[in-house]
Amino acid sequence: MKNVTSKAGVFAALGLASALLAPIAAQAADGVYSVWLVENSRFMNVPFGAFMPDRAFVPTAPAGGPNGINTVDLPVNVGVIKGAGKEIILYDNGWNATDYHKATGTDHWSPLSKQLGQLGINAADVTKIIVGHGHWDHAGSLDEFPNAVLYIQREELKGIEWALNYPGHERIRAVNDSPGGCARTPACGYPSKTMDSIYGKVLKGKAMIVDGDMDVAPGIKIHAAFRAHTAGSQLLEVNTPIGKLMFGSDAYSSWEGIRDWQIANPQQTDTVQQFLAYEKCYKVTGGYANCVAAHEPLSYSDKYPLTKNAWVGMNGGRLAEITLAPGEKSRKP
Amino acid sequence: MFKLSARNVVALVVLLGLILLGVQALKNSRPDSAAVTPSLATQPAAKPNFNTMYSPGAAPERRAFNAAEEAYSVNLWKIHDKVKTSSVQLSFAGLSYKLKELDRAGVKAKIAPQIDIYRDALQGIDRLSVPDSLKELHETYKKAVTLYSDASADMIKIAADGNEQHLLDAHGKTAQAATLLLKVSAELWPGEFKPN
Repeated sequence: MKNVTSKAGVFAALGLASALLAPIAAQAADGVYSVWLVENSRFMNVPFGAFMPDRAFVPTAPAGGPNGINTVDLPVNVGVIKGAGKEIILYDNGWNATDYHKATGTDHWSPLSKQLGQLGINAADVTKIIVGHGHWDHAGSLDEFPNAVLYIQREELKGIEWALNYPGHERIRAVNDSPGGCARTPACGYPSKTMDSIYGKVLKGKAMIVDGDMDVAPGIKIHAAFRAHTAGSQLLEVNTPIGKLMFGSDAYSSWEGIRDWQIANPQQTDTVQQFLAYEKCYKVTGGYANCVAAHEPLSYSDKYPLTKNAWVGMNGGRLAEITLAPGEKSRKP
Repeated sequence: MFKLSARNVVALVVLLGLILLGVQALKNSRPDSAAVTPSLATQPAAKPNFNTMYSPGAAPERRAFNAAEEAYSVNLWKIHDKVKTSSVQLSFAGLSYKLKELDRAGVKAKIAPQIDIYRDALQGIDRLSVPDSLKELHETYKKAVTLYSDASADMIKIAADGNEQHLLDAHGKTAQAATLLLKVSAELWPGEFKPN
């Protein structure tokens, strides 16, 4: 009996201790995140030089070398960030305008909400969507996540509105303005549906209009990167078990670009600002390895080591398990 | 017999220098393994067309249109050009109101010109000569513009009573209209949107 009492005492003491320490443990875990990358779709056969001028194809260049690759396939990557509690954050949002597919040379697309199902995540449980910028292939699935709060820079909205009302040449427009014309009208990329969805979030009280840098949650911080791709581009710093990650959307279109200090995907880009955004990743994460790119052709391969723990999901879209917080289970089949 | 004269020594040094330069040049002409992207290097040889155009995305071509279809596509584009820009103006009118950058009178001032645009667009649509093959698409487009017209009529009501339900009613219509615009765009003007 004495022994039993003694054991019970020990268990009681352990229970009390764990009850007292639980909030501290939760606090420690809160602020370290699991991260996955989801390929929402893939733009096929994009001329490399259209994506990265420094990588423009030169027929006489050695095949496979920096200027020896004619076209590349560009993934449309979405970051999935999961905290210890109920926090599930998306960085960028892909797109769901299926009528675009044949207009954009797209393959391997699936609805982002269904793709998240492959990670065991319900779309209704997504708490926040932080868009690196407002282009249609990054802010295009907002209607699939009715409960999520959208985070977008005020500067982005101002930039779109400026281009929308610009009275000058037709090549300077927010809304694509000639057949095939979005190709090199750098202010464009904001079609009716995307803007209507962004407005819908604001209208329904599900948007946070951000002014510059902002702490979003413990271990998660928005860094403004204005004009690093569009007027109101924003980066996202995330604390993880493998150190800090920095998501960059199209400010970080190419991971090789960050590594080699080459511009990529210039739109409303001030190339100095794009390099400053690159530098931000180096400063915050300690190098280029943990910079998360939106359209890196090497994604989901060991050539982009951060994303190498990858598998192929529905409709050929790829996923990568970048890091798991303590206690989080792997989703990789 | 080779004589080690001063002239020969100079000639020898020059010759050795040239050889060294040659070796270096040969080395530089080889692909730098560190600069090659290994996975891409294993891809099939690139197609021999020179990428001089700065145009991303090799979008599939639209099916061949006959003259009547082409004329319809061109004429509807002139209307669509105004409609799609106007649709984004509607979004910004609502956005600016919600963000307290516009008051009710400001919303009215922004919306009123859009009502005119949709009225003119609907009149223009009715005047178009529509090939049989595009009649369904034509009706889809007309429906989209009608929805925008109705939405703008809803939105402007907020100037009178400040009731935000008008904005919510309008948004239900604009969300539907925007999807319809995409449907028509994809058929008539593929390549309208490119990766960015």
